[in-house]
Amino acid sequence: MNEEKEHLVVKKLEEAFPGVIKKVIRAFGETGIVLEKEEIKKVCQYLKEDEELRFDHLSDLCGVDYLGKKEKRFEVVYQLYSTKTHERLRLKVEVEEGESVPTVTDIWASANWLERECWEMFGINFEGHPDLRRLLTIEEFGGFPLRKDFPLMGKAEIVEGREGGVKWQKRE
Amino acid sequence: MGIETHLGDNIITTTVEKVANWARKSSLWPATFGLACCAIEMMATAMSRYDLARFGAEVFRASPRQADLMIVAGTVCNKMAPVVRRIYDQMPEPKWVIAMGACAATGGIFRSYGVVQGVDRIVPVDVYVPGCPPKPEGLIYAIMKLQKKIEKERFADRA
Repeated sequence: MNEEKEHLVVKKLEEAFPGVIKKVIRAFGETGIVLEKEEIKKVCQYLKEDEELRFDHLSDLCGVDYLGKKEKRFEVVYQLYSTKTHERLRLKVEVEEGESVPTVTDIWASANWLERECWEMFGINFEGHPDLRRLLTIEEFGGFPLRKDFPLMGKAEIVEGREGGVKWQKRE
Repeated sequence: MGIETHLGDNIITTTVEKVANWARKSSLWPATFGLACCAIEMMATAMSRYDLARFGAEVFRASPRQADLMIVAGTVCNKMAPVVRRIYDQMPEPKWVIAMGACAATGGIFRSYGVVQGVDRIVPVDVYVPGCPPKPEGLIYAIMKLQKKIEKERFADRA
């Protein structure tokens, strides 16, 4: 996203939602905006529906664990793309452990599985998500594996069951 | 010597065990079942260049109920483990398992919370093939090893 376009996004957001932008990060020719957590849904709706911007595609949504490095432990990152202008934009919200983020599933359907994965890996709760279940790990899996304080080998393992089948057994 | 001298050139004597084991080892039917990149090598093994048919093991069956050899070709993740075990349970006796590649044998490079650290934790394994992935020659050698093993099997041990 070039300088001019970035100013347009920042300007339009400032106009529509005064004070919502906490910080603008420019790195490697890409633009990231740190936002207020409570406003993320409104901002996303706006970015998607605005005629000039049209960020109609959520290409990725992921979590980051900044254990001990930042004031708020987690960050949720949204990667947006516009199929009309072919521009990309990155949104970030900071989340403390135990807090939840409003879901964007009703804006982009692709957020459904992405938020599920984010919840499963980091334990970041998405408020209003229609189906917040585990996606990649088995149902018995306890804990959130991509957290920095999660043990590499996990807390349990799969072993042969006594009468056929397999069972999920706690590691000693 | 013995009874064979009276039977002439056209009849030989042996034991049921030997004949049965010979039949079993000469016609292994693997289950069509690949989990990761090792499966590509397994397919290559079955194709014309390496031609697994030379060892009588070319009939990859789509149903575990028709197979007697399970080649675990690839990484077994936690979510796949119950399925692998079920396929093994569905295969009729006698049955054998080859753990193909580093992942199936030990978990390989995936020393993590999501991967079974060796398929021998969930099913009994007869032959392990090292490699990442093993070349078709490796798998063929494993099948030959397994045939040697089947040859020496005793009915009493299986019961």
